[in-house]
Amino acid sequence: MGAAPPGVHAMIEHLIAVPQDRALIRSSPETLFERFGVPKDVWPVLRTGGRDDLAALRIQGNLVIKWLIWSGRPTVAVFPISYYFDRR
Amino acid sequence: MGNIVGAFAMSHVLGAPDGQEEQALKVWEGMQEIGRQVRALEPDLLVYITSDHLNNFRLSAPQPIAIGTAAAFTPYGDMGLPLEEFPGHPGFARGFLNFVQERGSNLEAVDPLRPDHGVVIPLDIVDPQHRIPTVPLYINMVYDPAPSPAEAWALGRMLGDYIREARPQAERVVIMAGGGLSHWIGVPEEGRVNAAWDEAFLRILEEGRNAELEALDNASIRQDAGNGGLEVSSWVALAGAIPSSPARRVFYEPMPGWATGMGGIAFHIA
Repeated sequence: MGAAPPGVHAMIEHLIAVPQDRALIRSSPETLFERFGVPKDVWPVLRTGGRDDLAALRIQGNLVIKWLIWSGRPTVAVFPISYYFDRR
Repeated sequence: MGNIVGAFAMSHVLGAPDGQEEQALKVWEGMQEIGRQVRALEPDLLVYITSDHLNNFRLSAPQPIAIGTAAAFTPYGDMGLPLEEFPGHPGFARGFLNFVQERGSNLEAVDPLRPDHGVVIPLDIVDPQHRIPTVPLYINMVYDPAPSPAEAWALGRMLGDYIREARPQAERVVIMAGGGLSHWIGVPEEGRVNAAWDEAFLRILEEGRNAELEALDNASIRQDAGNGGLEVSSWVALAGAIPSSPARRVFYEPMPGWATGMGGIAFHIA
């Protein structure tokens, strides 16, 4: 597997560790892209691309899923865990 | 010497029930059945083998095989999971760390650690009151290359040896494995489930052919069961701890809406 564009994995890993910064994905993604040195040519894909577009950039699969969830573009249906856990 | 009083494996995710309510219910009931069986064994501690989803580990600093050594863990809280703390077992965890390292194998402590759904979904089903001290043992399949099935098998053998040789007399240990079965994560094949592969994998365990798992290879697992299917290395490690014990299937459902095959087994411990 080749490498993802510079900064992308570090950016998503930062958002895992610092959840409050995830709001920037929608409010000011350029702030994140610039902070982590993400090349400008991949900014449009990160902003609006789907799973397959992100996978084509060689972004690790688990990080693809996280980015899409935080961006409001989840690949599987979201559900409340209480649907199950309330039946324990 | 301690005793492995129970061994179980199951997929470690849940999904939206919509459109597959009947299958979702079967999965949920199967997971709860495993939970009942674990609690009935009244274990002193639970060792839970799984892969993290990069919520506690970084690609730039790989820790392929790691163990949580803290006295307590607060969940990471992904998937909206509850944040209630659960107890660890530092004595067991640090002892196993030393046991493995003395044998020249690679195992690292991970601290801090906030276990994600890979641990917390099964744990909150098995032990919803968080009464059983739990040791998270990670075989992290998110790296490329990831630990091989042979490495997972060897780790499991050492875990079994450690419990039987180095733990206190009559300590009751349940080992669980989580993850799999076939699924593809964050790639174009996501949503595919290879039920035939899942069935074959489960059949190996049901027939007690555990040692065959050591010879699997990650390239073929990735090809046939997906990048997420690599998580079955946790099941391989568990089988390595109890190499001659066959398993009984508790549940299996292909769940394309959840993008995964969902399975659960209970081993017969002699």
